Formats: sequence, structure tokens, C-alpha cells
Amino acid sequence: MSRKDLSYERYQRQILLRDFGEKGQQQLFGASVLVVGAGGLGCPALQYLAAAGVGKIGIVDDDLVSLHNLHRQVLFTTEDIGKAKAGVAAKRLESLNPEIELATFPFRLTNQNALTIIGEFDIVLDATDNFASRYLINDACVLLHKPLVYGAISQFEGQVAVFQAAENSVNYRDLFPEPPPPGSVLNCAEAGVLGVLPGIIGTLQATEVIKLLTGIGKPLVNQLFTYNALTNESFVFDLATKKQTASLLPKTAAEYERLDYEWLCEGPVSVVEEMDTAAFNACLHEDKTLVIDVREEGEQPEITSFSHRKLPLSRLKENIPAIDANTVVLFCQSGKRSREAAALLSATFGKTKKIYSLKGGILNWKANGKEA
Amino acid sequence: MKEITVLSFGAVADILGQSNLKLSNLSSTDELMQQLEKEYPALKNIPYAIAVNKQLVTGSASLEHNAIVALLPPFSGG
Repeated sequence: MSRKDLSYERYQRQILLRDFGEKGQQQLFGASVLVVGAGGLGCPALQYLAAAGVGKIGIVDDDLVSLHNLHRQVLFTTEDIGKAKAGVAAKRLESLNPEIELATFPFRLTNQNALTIIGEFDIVLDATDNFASRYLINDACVLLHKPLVYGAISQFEGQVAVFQAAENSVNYRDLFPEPPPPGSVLNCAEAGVLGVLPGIIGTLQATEVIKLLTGIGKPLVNQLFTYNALTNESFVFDLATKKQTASLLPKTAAEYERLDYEWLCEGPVSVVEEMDTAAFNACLHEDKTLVIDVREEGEQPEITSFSHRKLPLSRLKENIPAIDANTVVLFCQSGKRSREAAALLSATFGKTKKIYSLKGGILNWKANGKEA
Repeated sequence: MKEITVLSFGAVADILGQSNLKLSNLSSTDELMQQLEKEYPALKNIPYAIAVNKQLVTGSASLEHNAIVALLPPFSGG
């Protein structure tokens, strides 16, 4: 290994720790961790893993920094808006700790590339924000027998667990066998999240990685930890393997690569046509296009700069007969509910109407695409 | 009388309108689910894992007096 010699001064305070010592530091330095998602959970996890001296860290993220990321994604600054998260994160971590190796994967992890990428690392930290990624990471980790440190958040609550860190270990599908029905569980963009919450949960994930690598303490192997920021209540639940889980998992790499995770997790929504901001702006000048806001009553920001109809998703079905235009563009906050709405309309109108969903939602349009 | 406590999380707590619920005279998790889903039909639309006394259970589990049942929906956010 061509890594530089360990700097004792940098890690002195943790080398001092009983049970950790020089041996623990060498174990971190000799290890590699893949962090999937450099968002709310990924930023603090990356920061602490890099600071602690994990020898090689991989960063997977295909997204760009947006203004609405900054209240929780603490590796990024206002100047970084519009830049690739993976690259910016690597730059920050490099200046935090130039002694470690950083690998960036500035694209989406899919079942076509996951086995190769995950195969290069000792442990995977799931810091993603959608079910398709969570299931495809879990299934890859089961196939490759890789320990997986899971973390997920919703509004004021978080979950952390360690999967596959021991023989006959529990995996994510033992807890949640199959993806929830599309649209039944809201993500942060839809439901909101307290900025500090992923800071806590991502930091707990980094803690579990360090415990696994150095053998200190009792990591959450076969356990689920839950935390509520509003009440300070936390629980640890014991998990167990389930017989039926095996039938849900792909058995071979070939079978894994044939699965359509987007379809499994998002259903008909995965084939909805999305419209980018430039095409949307062009559409706004066409009379034949009907623009529909599918957000619920009272959601902010109120849109006044272009004409549109308001048909909240919860009442869209009964209002379908009122949709008369041949081209329809739907929007919501983040582009998730509008995809659902588009799937619903496409199922009704088939090819008789052109149905689009505004990609990234109205927040993205306001931030990046709005005409001057 | 047999009493149990139901702890709910995330979207389940939103549907039940509370995170801590006391119920009585329920002998199994299946019975509990039936009663909750009757009272809160929206619960049928979301998945959740069930733990009894902090142990995740598969299928229906029997409930003793003072059992603590946790209803844990998956979170996707990150």
C-alpha cells in the first residue's frame, strides 16, 4: 500500500482512548468505506470518517448543490451552488485530511454499476434519500456479503441499523421486506426535515462504521435504533432474520442486474416523462398547454408568475374529466408528487394527451430555471 | 384487564395523531392491527414493521399484559 505514514499528532486524542489505541487507528487507516449519497446524512458521515482517518473513502452522488440543501448538508457553502456534490465534498475532505485517499463517483448508483463499485470497499454507508437506492444497495451488499450501515430520516425522526456484519445477519429486507407502495412514504423534499436531524443520524452512522472497523463497543448488529429529536426518545429494537426474505433477494449477479428497482419502488411513476426547466419555460408561452399545481391547499411558495390551475393530488382523480388540454404539465414542490399525478393521468388518457411532470419541482424551477 | 401500550413512529404516529397509545383487551398483534385499521383506515396504505417488547415480530404475535408494541414505518429520507 502506497499510503503515507500515519500522523500520530492528528489522531492523538483518539489513540489515547482505551480499547482504541494505535491498533484502532491502524485499522481505520487500512480500511475503505463507501458513502452512497453526499446529502444530509452523507455530509456529516463523510466529515467524521475523513477526520477520524479512514484510509480510503468513496463518495457516490449524481446531484448538484442547491440552496435548499444548505440548511443540513454542512460540507457545502453558498458558493458551491450548482457544483457536483461528490467533487465539492472530496475537495473539502481533502483539505480536512490530506492523508487519506478519496474516490468520487459523480453518478447514480444503479444495479448495473453497484456490484463493481461496492466490491472495492470494506463497508457501505447508506446515506441515500429514496427507496430504489436503499433496496438496490441492500441487495448488492447481501450478494457481496458487505456490512451495510443504514440510516434514514423523516421530519424529526431517524433510524440507524447495521446489516450483514456477521454470519446469518439480518438485512434491510428482514425489516422492510418490500418497497412501500409508490407515494405512500414521503421523502424530505415532500415532508420536510429539521436540518440538524441528519447531522445526528449521519454522525451515528459514522460512529457505527468506526466501531465495526476497530471492534470497540457494541455496534447495532441485528438491531434498529430510532431517535426522535422532538422528544429525545430513543429505542433499540432487536431484529431477526425471516425465512421469506431469501425469496425476495436476487440470487446471482445476473438476476440482480435484471431487476428494475425504479419500477419496483416507484411503479408506473418510473416511466413518466419529465420536463426540464428550459422546456417548461418554453411551454409557458404556449396557450395549448395546461399547467397544473398538484400541491395541497396553502403550500408555499404561492406561484403567481404564470397562469396555472390548482388541482391538489388528493383530489386529482375526481377532477380528471375537467382536464381538457392536449398537453398537460404538472408540478409540485420537488417533482415527486407531480410524477405520481402524471402516472395517474397517463393511465387515464393513454396516448391521447401529452402528460409531463416538471423535473425537480417548483423549488428547483425557482432556484435554477426561472426566467429573468 | 389486559392493557398494552402502542408506540408509533413517523407516518404511523401522524395517522394515529399520537405516538403513545394505551389500549386494552387485545390478545394479538393481528387483533391490534384490525382495530387500528378500522379506526384509522389510512393505516392500511402504509407499510410498517411491528415489534413487541422491543423484538421485531413476524406474523401475528400474542400480547401479554403490559406489552409494548411498536409500529415502525420505513423512512426514505437522507
